[in-house]
Amino acid sequence: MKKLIAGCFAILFMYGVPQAWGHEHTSGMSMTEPQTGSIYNLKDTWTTSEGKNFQLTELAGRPVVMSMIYTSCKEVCPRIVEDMKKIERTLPPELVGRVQFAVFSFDTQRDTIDKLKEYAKAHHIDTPTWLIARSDAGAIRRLSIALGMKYKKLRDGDFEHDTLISVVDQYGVISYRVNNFTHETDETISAIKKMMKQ
Amino acid sequence: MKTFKALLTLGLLLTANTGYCDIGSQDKNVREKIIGQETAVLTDAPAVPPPITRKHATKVIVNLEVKEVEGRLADGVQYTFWTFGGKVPGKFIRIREGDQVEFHLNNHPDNKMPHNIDLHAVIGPGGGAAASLTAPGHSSHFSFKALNPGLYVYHCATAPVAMHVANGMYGLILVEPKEGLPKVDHEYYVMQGDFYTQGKNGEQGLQPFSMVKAIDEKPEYVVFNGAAGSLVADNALQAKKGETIRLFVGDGGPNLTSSFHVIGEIFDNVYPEGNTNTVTHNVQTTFIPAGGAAIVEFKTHVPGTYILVDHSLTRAFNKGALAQLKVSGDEEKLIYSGKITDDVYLPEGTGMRNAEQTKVAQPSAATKQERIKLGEVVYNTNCAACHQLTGLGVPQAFPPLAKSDFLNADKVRAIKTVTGGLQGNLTVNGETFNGVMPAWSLSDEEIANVLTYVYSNWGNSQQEVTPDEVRRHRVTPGKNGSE
Amino acid sequence: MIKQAVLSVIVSAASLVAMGSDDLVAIPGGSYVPFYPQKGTTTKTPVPPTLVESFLLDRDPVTNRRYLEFVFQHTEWRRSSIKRIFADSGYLQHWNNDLSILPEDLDKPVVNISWFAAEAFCEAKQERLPMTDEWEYVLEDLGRGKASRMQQVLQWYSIPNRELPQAGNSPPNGFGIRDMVGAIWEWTEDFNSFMASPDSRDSGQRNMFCGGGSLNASDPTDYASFMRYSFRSSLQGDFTGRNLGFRCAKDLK
Repeated sequence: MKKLIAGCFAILFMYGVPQAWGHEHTSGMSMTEPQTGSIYNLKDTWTTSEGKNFQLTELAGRPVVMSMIYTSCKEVCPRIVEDMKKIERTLPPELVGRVQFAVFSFDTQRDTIDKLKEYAKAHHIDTPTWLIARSDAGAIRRLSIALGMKYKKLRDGDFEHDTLISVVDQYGVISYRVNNFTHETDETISAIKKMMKQ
Repeated sequence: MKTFKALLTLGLLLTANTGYCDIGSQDKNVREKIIGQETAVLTDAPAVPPPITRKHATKVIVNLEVKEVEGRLADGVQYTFWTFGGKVPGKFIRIREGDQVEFHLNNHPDNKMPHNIDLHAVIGPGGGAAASLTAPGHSSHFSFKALNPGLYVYHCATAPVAMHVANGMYGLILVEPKEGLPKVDHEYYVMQGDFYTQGKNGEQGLQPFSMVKAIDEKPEYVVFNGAAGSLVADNALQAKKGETIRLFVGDGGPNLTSSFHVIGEIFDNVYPEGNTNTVTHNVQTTFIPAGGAAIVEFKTHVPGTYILVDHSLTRAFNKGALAQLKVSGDEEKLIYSGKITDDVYLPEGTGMRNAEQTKVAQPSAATKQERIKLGEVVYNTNCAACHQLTGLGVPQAFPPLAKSDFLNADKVRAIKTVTGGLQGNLTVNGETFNGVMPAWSLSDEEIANVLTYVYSNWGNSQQEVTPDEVRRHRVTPGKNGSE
Repeated sequence: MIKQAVLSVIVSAASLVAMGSDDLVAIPGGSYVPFYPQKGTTTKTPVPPTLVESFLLDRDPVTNRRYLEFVFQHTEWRRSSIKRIFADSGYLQHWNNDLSILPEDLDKPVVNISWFAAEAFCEAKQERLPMTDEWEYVLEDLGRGKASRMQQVLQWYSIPNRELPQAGNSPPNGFGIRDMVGAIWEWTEDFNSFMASPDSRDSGQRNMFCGGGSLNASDPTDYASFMRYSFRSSLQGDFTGRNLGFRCAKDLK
C-alpha cells in the first residue's frame, strides 16, 4: 500500500544515480591521498564575472560549495542557487566568511562575462564569498564529470541537468554531495564543520 | 469518517480471517531501537536461513554479489543466467521487522551489464533501485529500515527490466514478524520463473534469450528454482511422515503468475501474498502473482512423492514447472488406501458405435505439402510425447523416427504399426527396444498425413502415404503382422 | 588474470611500431532516430530524427599498443602516477606494470580505462571522444541489416566476456567501422548526458524522469539500446571496467 503511494510504476524502469550521494560517498577519494583525489587536478582556465581568469586550484584552502547552472535557466537553476544561499545563511557564526560558494556555467555560448555579472547582481551573489564563472565546452564537460553531474544540451540551446550540489574540502576532494532540493541544511553544515576540523 | 472506517474494518474482517492493522501502523518500527550488528546469513534455494531468535532489532549487513553465469536450464540446454549470488533464484535473505539493513550490491568485474536491486520490502523510490545502479567491477551500498513484516520478492530493475528478470534476477527476502513464525520441522525456498530461449523447448546447446518471445509472453520454459528438474529425484525436497513443512514460494516472472499447488496435499495454512498478518486455512491452490510471494504450511501424513506444480498444467507437463517432495515413512492406510481394485467399467448400451457417432468432419489434404502440414498437428498431439518433437525418441525407451531404418525400409509396415500397434523386441538403427506402441484409432486421412509428415522430416525417405494406402493396409489392433 | 609476467615485453621507444589500425574513417553526416528522443518531442510521431554532421571516427577501438605508446610519452597517465580523481584502482590493471603487457594482448582493445584517460588520449592526438549521438548513428548504420544486428548486439550484451578478441575482429559495417559491438563497451564524450536521475522530478522534468523507462523510448522493443543506455548511465568519469574501452573521433574541417 505504502509502496504504491511512494512511487510511480515507472520507477521500476529507471536508471538512477549510481551511488547514494551523501557523506559516505568517498570512493577512490580517501583523505590519505588528498592531492590525487582532488578536483583541483583539473587544469582548465575559468573566467569570473569580473573578467578574472583562474584555475580551480586557486580555490584551495577553504571548503567550497559548488554547482553548475546556466543563467537563462528559469526554473531549476535559481532553486539551486537559492539552496546554496540557504546553506550560507545557516552557517554557524564561526564559519561565516570562511566558506566559498561557486557556480559554474554550462552555457559557453550565451553566458558571457556580462551575463554572469548581471545574474550575480540579480541573485545577490555579487559578494566576496561567491563566484560565478564560465569556460569552454571541454572544461565544462570535465568539471561536470568530475563532480558527477549529468547534463545534456538541447536543440534550443537550453540544458537539461541534475541538481547536484557538491562540497569540496580544503584540498579539493569532494566530501559531500546532495542531489535534490533539500529544505534542511543540517547535513551539509555538519559536513563542512567536519572538514574544517581536519 | 467514522462510518467509513467502520465499513472499511468490516470489509477487511470479512475478507481476512485474522489481522487488521491501521494504515501506517508499521510506523512504530521507524523508532525501533537498533542494538548490535550482524552479517546476514544468505542461502541458495531450496535452503532457508535459520529462524531469527533475537528479541530486538539490529543492524544487518547484506552482501549480495551479482554474477552472470552459464548454467543448466534443462537437460542438454544451457543458458546464460544473470544472478544474485550465482544461482537462480537469488540468495534468500532473512531479517527481522524493525531491522536496519545496510545493503551492499557488488557487481562482479567479469560481468557485462550494470545491475541494481529493487527489494519489495523497501519503502522508498525504486525500492533501492535508484540507489544501487552499479557498473561491472563496482559496488554500491544503501540502507533501509524494514518496516513491514512479510515475504517479499526482490529483483533487478535495470532497463530492460524484463530481460534482467527473465535471465533470473530475482529472489526472496523475508522480513520476519517480531513474534516470529510458528516452529516447523522444515523450511524450503521455491521460486518460479519463466524463460524465453531462441530454441524451442528441448532444443539442445547454449540457448540465447529471445526478446521476441519475451515480449509476446510465450516462454519455452516455466521452472522452479532456475532449471527444469532442479527439485526432483536426488534433489527433491525431503520430509518424514508426520513432519510440518513451510514453503516460501515466490514468483519471479517476469510475466506469468503461478497457480501453486502440491498434488496430494492440502495447505493447512496459507499466508496469502506473503502477508504474515493473515492466515487462511485448507487451501488447495494458491495464487502467486509475478513479483509476489506466498507462505504455505502443511503437515505430511502419508508417505510418497508429492509433486509441486503450477496448476496451469501445460507449464508443469510441457515446460518444466514441477518439483518433488518426498515423504518417507510407513504407509498410512487409514488416511489413504492406495488402489484397491481395478475392474472393467462398461455401462449398458455403450459400445463401438460411439466412435462413429462422434466422428467429425476432418480436413483432407489436396497436396503433399498440405498433408505434411496437417500431419505435423497429428504428430505433435499423438506422437511427440514419446518420439519427441525432434523425432529423436528417447534412448532405451522410445525408438527414433529420425533417419530410422525400420521406418524407411517399409511403408506398409509403418501403416500396420500405427494402425495395429507393436509390442516386443525391435531394433532401430542398431539399438534394441522392448516396449509397447499402442494401436492408434486415427482416421485413414490422419494416419496418411502423420506418416507423410514423418517421412518428410529428419532425414527420412520423403515418401508420401495416401489415405487409400492406409485403408488398404490397415490392420486390426494387435495384428500388424510384422513379427 | 594476467599476472604471469614471464612473457611480458618491455617496450622502448624504438620498438613502438603502430600495428593496430589507427586510421580514421570519414563518416558522412545524416540523421538517425535517437533511442531516447529529446525532451518535448516525445508526443510527436514520428519522433523527429537527430542530425549528425560529418566527422571522422577510428576504424577500430584503441588498442593496448596505441595506449602504451601514449603513456610512454605522457607519464602522468601511467598506472602508477594516475591521479585518483581521473581513474579508479582498476585502471590498466591487466597490464604487468606501467609499461609492460603480455604480447598477445598488444593488439586487443585497451580496457580498464576511465573517461578522463580516454579523453586525454584522444586530445593528445588533436582528436576527441565521439559524442553519444555520433556513436549511436554509426552503430545504426543508416538502418543497414537492422534485424540481424539487433540480435547480434543483444546476444553479445547477454553473455559475460571470457576473452577479448583482437581489435578489428568483426567485419566492417556500412561505414567501414569495426567492432561497434562484439568486443567492448565504449566511452562517449557525453556519456553523462543521459538524464534519468530520480530527482529530476523535483525540477519539473517529469518527462525525462520517465525517460529511463520504456514509455519514452522510440522503440521499446529494442532491448539492446536499453542495455547500452543503462550501461552508460551506471558510469562515473573515473570508473574503469574489464570490458570498457574507447575509440577517438575528430571534427571534419
